[in-house]
Amino acid sequence: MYKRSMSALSIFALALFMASCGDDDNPVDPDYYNEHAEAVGLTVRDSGAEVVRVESGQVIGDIEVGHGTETALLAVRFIAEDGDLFTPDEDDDFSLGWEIADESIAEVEHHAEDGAWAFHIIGLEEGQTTIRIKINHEGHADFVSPEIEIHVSEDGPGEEHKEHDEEG
Amino acid sequence: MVRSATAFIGKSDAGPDANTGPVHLCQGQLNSRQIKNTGRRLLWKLASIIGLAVGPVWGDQTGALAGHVIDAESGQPVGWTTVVIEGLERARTSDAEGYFFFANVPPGAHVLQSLHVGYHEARFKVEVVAGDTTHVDLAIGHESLHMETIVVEGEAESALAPLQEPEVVFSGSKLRQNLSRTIAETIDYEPGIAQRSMGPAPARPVLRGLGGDRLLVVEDGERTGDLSGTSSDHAVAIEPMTTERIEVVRGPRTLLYGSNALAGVVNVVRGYVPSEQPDGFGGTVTYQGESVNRGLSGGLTLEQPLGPLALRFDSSLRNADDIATPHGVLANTDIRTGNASVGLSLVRPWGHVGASGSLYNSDYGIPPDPEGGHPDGVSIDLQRQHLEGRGEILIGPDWLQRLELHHSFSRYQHGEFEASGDLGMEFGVLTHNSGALAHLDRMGPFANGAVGLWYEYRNYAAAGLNFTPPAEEYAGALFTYQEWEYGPWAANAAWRVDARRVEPREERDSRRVGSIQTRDFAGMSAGLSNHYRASSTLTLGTTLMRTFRAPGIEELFSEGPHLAAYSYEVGNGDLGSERGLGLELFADYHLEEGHVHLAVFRNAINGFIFPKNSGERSLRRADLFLYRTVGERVLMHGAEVTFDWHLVEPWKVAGTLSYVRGRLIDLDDEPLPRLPPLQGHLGLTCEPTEALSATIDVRLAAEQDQIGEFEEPTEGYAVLDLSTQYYAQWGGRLHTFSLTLENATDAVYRNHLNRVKEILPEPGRNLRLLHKIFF
Repeated sequence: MYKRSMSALSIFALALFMASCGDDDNPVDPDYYNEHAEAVGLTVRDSGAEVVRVESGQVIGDIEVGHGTETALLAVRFIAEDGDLFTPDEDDDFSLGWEIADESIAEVEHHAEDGAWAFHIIGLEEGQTTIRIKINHEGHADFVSPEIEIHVSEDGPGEEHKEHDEEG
Repeated sequence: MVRSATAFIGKSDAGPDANTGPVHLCQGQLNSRQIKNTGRRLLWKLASIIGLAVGPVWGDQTGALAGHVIDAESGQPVGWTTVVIEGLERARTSDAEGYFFFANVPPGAHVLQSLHVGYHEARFKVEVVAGDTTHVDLAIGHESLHMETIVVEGEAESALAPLQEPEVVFSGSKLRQNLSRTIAETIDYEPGIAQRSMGPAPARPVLRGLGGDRLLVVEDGERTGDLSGTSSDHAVAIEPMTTERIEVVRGPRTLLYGSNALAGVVNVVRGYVPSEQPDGFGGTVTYQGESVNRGLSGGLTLEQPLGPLALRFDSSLRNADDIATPHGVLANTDIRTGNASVGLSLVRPWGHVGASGSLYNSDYGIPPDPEGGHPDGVSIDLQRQHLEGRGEILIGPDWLQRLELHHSFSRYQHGEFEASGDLGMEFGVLTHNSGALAHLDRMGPFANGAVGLWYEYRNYAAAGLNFTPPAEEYAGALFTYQEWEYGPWAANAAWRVDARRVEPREERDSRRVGSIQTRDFAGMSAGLSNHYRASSTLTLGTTLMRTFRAPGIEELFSEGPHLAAYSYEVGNGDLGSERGLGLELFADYHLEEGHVHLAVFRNAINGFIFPKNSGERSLRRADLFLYRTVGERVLMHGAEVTFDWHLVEPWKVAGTLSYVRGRLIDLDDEPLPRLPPLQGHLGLTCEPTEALSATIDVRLAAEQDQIGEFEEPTEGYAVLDLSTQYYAQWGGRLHTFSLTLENATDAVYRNHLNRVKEILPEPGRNLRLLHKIFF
């Protein structure tokens, strides 16, 4: 009986020991998500002219659009820590994201044919709201901008809003 | 009328005929209640024979303890009483006739604690003699009786509390009455204890304003390997449902567990590796339901002897939906938890050796915070696998009472998921813990001494939008603990030296974190506590503690958004170690009618490490505030009052009051953030019969307006709780019921230590029923 008990305990302890030693790798691979877009700011250009710059946490400029119209194509470029401007490679699962505080005032229209890092703002109602621009990557946001103001007014700039088949 | 009840202790004859002669029962008052039942005598004698039979070789190294629990008033046996040998972490439940037996008990003085619903939790001093069986009658009284007296045959009565006992113990009826979703919620009625939380699931206890690593939460005396100490959204990976008892340890004894527990240690005793041979198949079934979250949970513990082996199994499941508050249901506050363990030990006269394995899985939600970067909340999936080997050797040289050895391995992982289901962050930690603790025999005035070694290896990795490098930690410690008594004086002291290396996988300079490189830390900690019995009713004391705490991987090198914590965390690679100096003065006043405990304390901490809200938004994640890890000089002070008093039969009043304040010395005395307000509770208990009790209790908290930078004040509150407990023996099984109505008036109140208190009021009215069956 004693021998059988010792055998049972030994097998049990050995099984636990092997389970303990057999998987000494951390269950999380820190390299799995190691490609990040390391942006610390951005610029928004309207037809080549910079309308918004986010740098050192400060927002300079805003986006204006007329009620019932859409802005010209707004191109986003991001600022790296060394000051260089860049756009992430969409082939590496980076994509443009946004969050508008009040979507009854303005909304984003994003067309594939305009490129991954450009969009229009449509003025839906007169008023003021904000937008945060993001770099989405692998299900999380690598970058989220501060709130950038959007002003929608009756006499604001804009083009007639055209319906597109493909919307973001 | 207050009646006195006394614990009677028997001592065996240790003479040459002791093993073969008649069983020696207790003398003195016990004679009037000597056991007349022949069957009981035979059972007792059988226990004695078993005790001697198991130790033919080592019989002179250990002794045995056979006991009988009886009602102090009627002399009737009290079955299903949990009897604990304090300090040895060994517990037995008496059978239906009140008998219990411990084999292989190290010789010397021990303290037995008895726990039974409807009876006072009493302590008894016993003397175990090597090679002999000591017989004990434990006469226990109902809670309406005052019974603190300890009588040891041949020794003077002592009112000094045994120094080795934990300051607070949650077990038996107290544990069942307070059993909640988390360990923190279960013990938060105690003075000085508050809950740091971020939703109901990840609550963690805070003691005297100190949480995280400064209040160690350990399981069977060892670290859990989870990340609950590092962030308020990380849960403690311990399920309270199948817990045997919870101890809160303070003072020098905390240095047996770690160098940094200035506040104390919460030791959750589960007994994964059995240390006792069960008499037969037995266990408990527990189930609980609560209304506030439509929660259901159940737990099962089983124990079975297999020849010289002892087998233990436990399992529990918990399923609760979102919490209801007076303001409506809080989204994403649900929790689903599963837990199972199996342990097997060889129990022999020379000690025991065994192993266990356990699994713990929990899915829980962090409520949404529209202002904090997560308008839809975050869900956390947590898993822990734990393997443990443990042994206790009772033989050896004369100076060694027993030697404990253990090694454990835990594999911990948790992922933080966005509402879309996308994985945002992931953490993984592998932890190896090893330890050896030699308990020393009494030497002159010195008793309960111990010398120990401890080693820990941690492998940490984080993934997601995170720049924290993977790192390894190596830590080791040497420590010793000693108690002594001299006349009206008693003291305990501990000394510990620790060394820790934190080794990142890659070394580099970071613009925000600083230098990321291997860091070495070493430090000494010590504690001394004195008790002076000024009179038979009054004990005065002081405790002086010096603690050392090395910063962890996350505090040194973390960088990245912590989604569930609504923060962008930046470590500090240049952090030094944290050193604390604590002083406590206390007084205990005991009368037959009741007990009052007063304590005042002052903790000065150099390099107090905490994530400080900078008030700035992160450049990378402007939706999150930047929290920088800093090390600041902190001065804390506070006071606690605890009392219980028997008014008239069958009424008892009890209450607590706690106060703590903290200041950042070098920051213009700015208040330390996240400190609990002045708070306490006041309860009135009625015990019309030994099997039934009912309590009405009011939880009180003052407004907290002593707040840190970027912190919001919290209003005071008064919350009414009602509870009742009943037990009965049906079909040879003990059934206990606990029915609690929390927040009976459905009051809106908020916990100042809740990171999302603005959106998360505490739960509304909650009816909770617990039924536990012992078999």
